[in-house]
Amino acid sequence: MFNTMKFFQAIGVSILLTIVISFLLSFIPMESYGLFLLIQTILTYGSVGLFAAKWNPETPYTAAYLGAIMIAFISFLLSHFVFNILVFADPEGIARSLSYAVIVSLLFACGTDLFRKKREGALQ
Amino acid sequence: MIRDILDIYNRNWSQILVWSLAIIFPVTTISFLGMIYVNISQEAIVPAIFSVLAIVLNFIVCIPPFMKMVIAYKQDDTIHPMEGILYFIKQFGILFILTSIFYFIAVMGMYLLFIPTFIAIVFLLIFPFFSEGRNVKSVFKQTFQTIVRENIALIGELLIIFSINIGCWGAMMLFMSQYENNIFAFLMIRVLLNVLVFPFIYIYLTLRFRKELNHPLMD
Repeated sequence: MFNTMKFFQAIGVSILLTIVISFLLSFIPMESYGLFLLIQTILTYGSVGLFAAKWNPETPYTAAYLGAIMIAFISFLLSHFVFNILVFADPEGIARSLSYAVIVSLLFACGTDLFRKKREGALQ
Repeated sequence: MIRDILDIYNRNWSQILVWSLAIIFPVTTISFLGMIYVNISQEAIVPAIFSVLAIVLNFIVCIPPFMKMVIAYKQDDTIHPMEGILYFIKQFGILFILTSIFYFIAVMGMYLLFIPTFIAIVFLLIFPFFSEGRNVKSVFKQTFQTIVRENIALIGELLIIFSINIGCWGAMMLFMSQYENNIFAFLMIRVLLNVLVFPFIYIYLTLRFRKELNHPLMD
């Protein structure tokens, strides 16, 4: 059964982790923006995949997929309404960022699921 | 009621101090700096709407540890400060998402004679105090039961919150007006205001909306 409360908890922990760790990272002078964006992508979508799969053990992949889509959509809205970046005029960019988000999130969910299955197998 | 609030505040002052430094201070700082960034930026379309969202989120996101403290106090128990911080992290997601959705409804409701706006604001005032339920449906159900029970008196709570905030802010601005000010001074004043005022409002509203806490044996 899909637990909406736990799903929201996973999204909240992911947003909080992103805020805290990118605040700490900003003190380190970094040469390239690419590395920073890579770290942030893996952090945000990886953590939402991990926690969604951890707290929704019966439907891990659905929760990870929906969480990644939701956070990506929040970031689109924020960049459109607050920063005035014309993201909705660029369908390829939207498809690229959504697919990266879903791929990273599902990879982490898959890893969490495999880990849990292995541990349960070792316990039995 | 006021005696109860002061009693709870005095018995739990150490937890409140830790949460003020660990939760209210960073949340207020981030929301205030976000407001300044959006208002200065040339690119933003609607800086005012985002600023009000930041203020509303700042009020709502800090509620859970204080609510848990009052519930524990009513059962003759105390909670560890770390427990409250973990509870804050747990409840952040649902508060953030539901607040964003209902704030969006409130803004869009301006075109419908402000009727959805009032309903959404009343919902935003009440639902954080029922957000620890098992599923989302029970949160909505308890919130609407409380709205129906309290109905017109809720305007009083809104007036209390707004007037305390605006009154303290105005008094502090009068005090500050003689000095040379910058963003940092405003930020510190804002944090001080929130740290002083928020715990009392949270304890008052929890006692007000969670009626079953006052009579634990009755159901």
